[in-house]
Amino acid sequence: MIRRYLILFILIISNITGFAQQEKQIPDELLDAIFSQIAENRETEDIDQTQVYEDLQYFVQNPINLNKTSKEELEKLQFLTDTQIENLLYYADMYYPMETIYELRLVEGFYGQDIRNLLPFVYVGKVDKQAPPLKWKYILKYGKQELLTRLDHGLETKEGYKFVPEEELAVNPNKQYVGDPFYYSIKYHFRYSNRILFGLTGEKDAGEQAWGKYNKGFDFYSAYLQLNDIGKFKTLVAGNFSAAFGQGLVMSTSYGFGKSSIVLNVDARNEGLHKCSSTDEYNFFRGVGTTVKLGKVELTAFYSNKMIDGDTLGGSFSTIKTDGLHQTMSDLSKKNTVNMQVMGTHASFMVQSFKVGMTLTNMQLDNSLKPSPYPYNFYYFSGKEQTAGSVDYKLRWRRLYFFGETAITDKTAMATLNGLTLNPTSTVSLVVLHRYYSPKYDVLFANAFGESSRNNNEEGLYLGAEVHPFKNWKFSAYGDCFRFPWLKYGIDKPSTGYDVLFQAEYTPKRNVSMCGRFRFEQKEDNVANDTATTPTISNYDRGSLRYVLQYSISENLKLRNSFEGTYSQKADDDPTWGFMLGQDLTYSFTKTPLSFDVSYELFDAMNYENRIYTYEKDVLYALSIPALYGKGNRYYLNIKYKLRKNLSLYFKIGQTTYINKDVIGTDLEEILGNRKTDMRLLVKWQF
Amino acid sequence: MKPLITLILLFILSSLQAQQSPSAIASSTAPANASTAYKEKWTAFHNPAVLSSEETVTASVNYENRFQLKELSTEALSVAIPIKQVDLGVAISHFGYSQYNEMQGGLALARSFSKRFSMGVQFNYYSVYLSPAEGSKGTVVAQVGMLSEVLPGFFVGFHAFNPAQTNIKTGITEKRIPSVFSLGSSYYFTENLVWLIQLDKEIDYNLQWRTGFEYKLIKELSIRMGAYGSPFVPSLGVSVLVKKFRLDLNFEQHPTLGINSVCGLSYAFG
Repeated sequence: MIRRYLILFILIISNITGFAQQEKQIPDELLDAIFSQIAENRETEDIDQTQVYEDLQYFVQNPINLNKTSKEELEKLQFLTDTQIENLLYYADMYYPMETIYELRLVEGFYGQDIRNLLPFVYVGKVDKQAPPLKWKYILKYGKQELLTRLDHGLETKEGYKFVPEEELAVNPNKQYVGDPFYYSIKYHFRYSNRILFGLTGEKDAGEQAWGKYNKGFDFYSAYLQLNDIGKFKTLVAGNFSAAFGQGLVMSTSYGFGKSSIVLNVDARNEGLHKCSSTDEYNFFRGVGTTVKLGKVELTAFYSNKMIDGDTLGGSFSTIKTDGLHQTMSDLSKKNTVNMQVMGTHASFMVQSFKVGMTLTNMQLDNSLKPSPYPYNFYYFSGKEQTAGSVDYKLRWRRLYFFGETAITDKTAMATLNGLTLNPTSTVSLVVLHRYYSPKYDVLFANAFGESSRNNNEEGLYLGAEVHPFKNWKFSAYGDCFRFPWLKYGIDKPSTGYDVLFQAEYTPKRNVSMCGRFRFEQKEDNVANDTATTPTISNYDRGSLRYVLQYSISENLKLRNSFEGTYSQKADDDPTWGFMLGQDLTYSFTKTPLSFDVSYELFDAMNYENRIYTYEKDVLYALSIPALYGKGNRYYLNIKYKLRKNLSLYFKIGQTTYINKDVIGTDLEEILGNRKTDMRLLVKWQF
Repeated sequence: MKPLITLILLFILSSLQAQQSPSAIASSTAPANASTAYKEKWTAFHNPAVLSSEETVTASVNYENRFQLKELSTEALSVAIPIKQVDLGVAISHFGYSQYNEMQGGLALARSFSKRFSMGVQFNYYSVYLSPAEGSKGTVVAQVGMLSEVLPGFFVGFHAFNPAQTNIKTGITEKRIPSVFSLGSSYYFTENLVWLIQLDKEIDYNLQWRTGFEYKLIKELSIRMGAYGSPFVPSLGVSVLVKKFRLDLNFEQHPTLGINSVCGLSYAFG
């Protein structure tokens, strides 16, 4: 009874209007928080994380009913902390059935921005007990289909698309791209509830040949099929799929947050086999797999057989080409040259709050991988075959949550990762994570937490904290101290470093929020033009300070201001700096299903070390986080128009202009002039 | 605009560039050694005002093994004696090895002036053995400290070690005794969870920050985590209470120097 009054009270005090009125979409703040730092950590502008994006977007279209959900389902909303999930499940169970979505305010550990982040993905409704039956009649009637086509084009002509005389091409065939400058992709998805998922993807990157001497059709095709809950079979996958077990020390082709401003989410999620509809041309498996559930035990097995790219010569190759670009003759000569077979099994046993699992994988190549010999890659994987196994665990005890994994390879190299999340009160959450990856440990599909993207040659201790000291305030901070016992690329000695982040978020009102973030990283790096016999390394510092203010003037108009300053210093050189100022505006019309974003950024960054990664709004499923440096402006217009109930149109055009450059890019990507314009068009048809 | 941004950034970064300040004082077992407003336990040569929160006569030994080098370890012994009018503390410590060592012995006095404010002073005799030629030299070093409860559950502490900047001069060299100014706070979210923040400034070194949490899982077991900088040094600890004995263990991981560990054992009489 008291709860009913409480709910009523919440309804009265919360500024209900507009809480869920607008068309649901993934909050930009969330995409920004998740992806900007990934781009920054991986030092890349195009991160192919469409899988995560698609998972999130799926729940926007098919929100989770909080009265009928599971830990597994909520874990797909990777921004939720493990404790938030537990609390939410506890609440939903304790006060079953939940009556309104506003009850989220009563759940321990959920505050302003957390609730706003969660809202698009969940609803509170009646429980429909019956699982949808697997009958053709229903499948055909209730299955949802979606077709997406996307076209990208840069307006300026790049060097690689210019005319080159035949005689010159005969001498140097790599002076020109083989295809046209359009990027084109098509995706088809079929979904029947959560039980049947099927899809096809075709993609052609810019510069790849669409139809001609070297290629006919798309450069990359993929197909997937996933069936869920068929008798004892929890999952069945065929075609392209991803696999992730434990903390990802042995196997994870899906994705974890790693270090980000969501400081608590450092444990791996999303275990198991999942369909893969991504256009990433390397990070997936192709074959079949299944998970069988036998009471408290789950058994998974899969087999994958696919061709990968490499510069094969006499039965061996030095690197795996993972970018999936086949724009030049040289790229084409590396295409599908190596056969890779992967087998994997995972067994897990689960009781209440304890889970233990075992993973065993084996990978075979038909050509031998032999990295060109350098001291830094002395311990990198080489050869034709690799076997690795691991044991992982998760345990919840009171307000503590332990997790970890320990792995060993056939070369008896060890890696271990262990962590603890602690939640003393609803306002404070802490996390500790220690990892040790031996220099000899190098498993191709490992993707666990770390400073380096490659899980080898690293030891470190990570501490994170999230505190809500006062109403409307949230502080997040992490510090990570790491050591590389062996050399690394660009660091010719064992080295150390640390990385700290502090973020304060303040949400005084529902329509106003601001966020300040400070980040500093110190690593060691080779000294430039070093002539000493023994290599010298010195400190390389990088810092950034960022402030973002977001507010909505009305239901239709949202504004965002941002500032970011960066700093970098190598050894005793003079420090270099950069800064960026930005203004964004989003307007959605009330009567027409049309919305647009306009953004303007001014940047002035002395060099590449001071680059600033800025999150940009984009067409559906596309992520662009350009790294801006030099002096110039960047502006874009992003439009979303719903032509009909089932047909949407997305269009984006952006331009970067530089005042101190008359050439942009290098080699075949070179553009003469100081402007770079990009265009993107996406059509979504649901039926 | 440019100079301003550069200035702001440089200021923040300079505070992160600090080196570890020298200290003849054994680290406390407070989270990340943020002892100034840590009222759970008084540690020898740390804020004497904290002494007034001791309720019974307590004897403690502390041992700090700096970076696993025996020569750099510090041993300390202390007794806290709360009396009605004033709380008394006695402490001695030893740092170093035969070729170089520092000894300190001190008497601390603390008093609560209201439920929410206490002050303390401590006088130490500090002596250092520099070389066979110079032998041991010593001087008196003072400490002052305060601790106040600003809001319920929110404490602010202040501590100055050697505020008068007493140094030891020999015919050959001058031994500087660190002069450290510390400002710290502790905030109790609940009785079982405290958050500490502290800033230290040694007169000749850059500012150093510390922060940490201590969480009492059960009456007998507390865990701690925190960090200080710079460079960023994470710190983890645990304390076990068995009847009248209390065992504290803290570990710090310095990126270059390795692991620093502190161990403390205390016994509460009465």
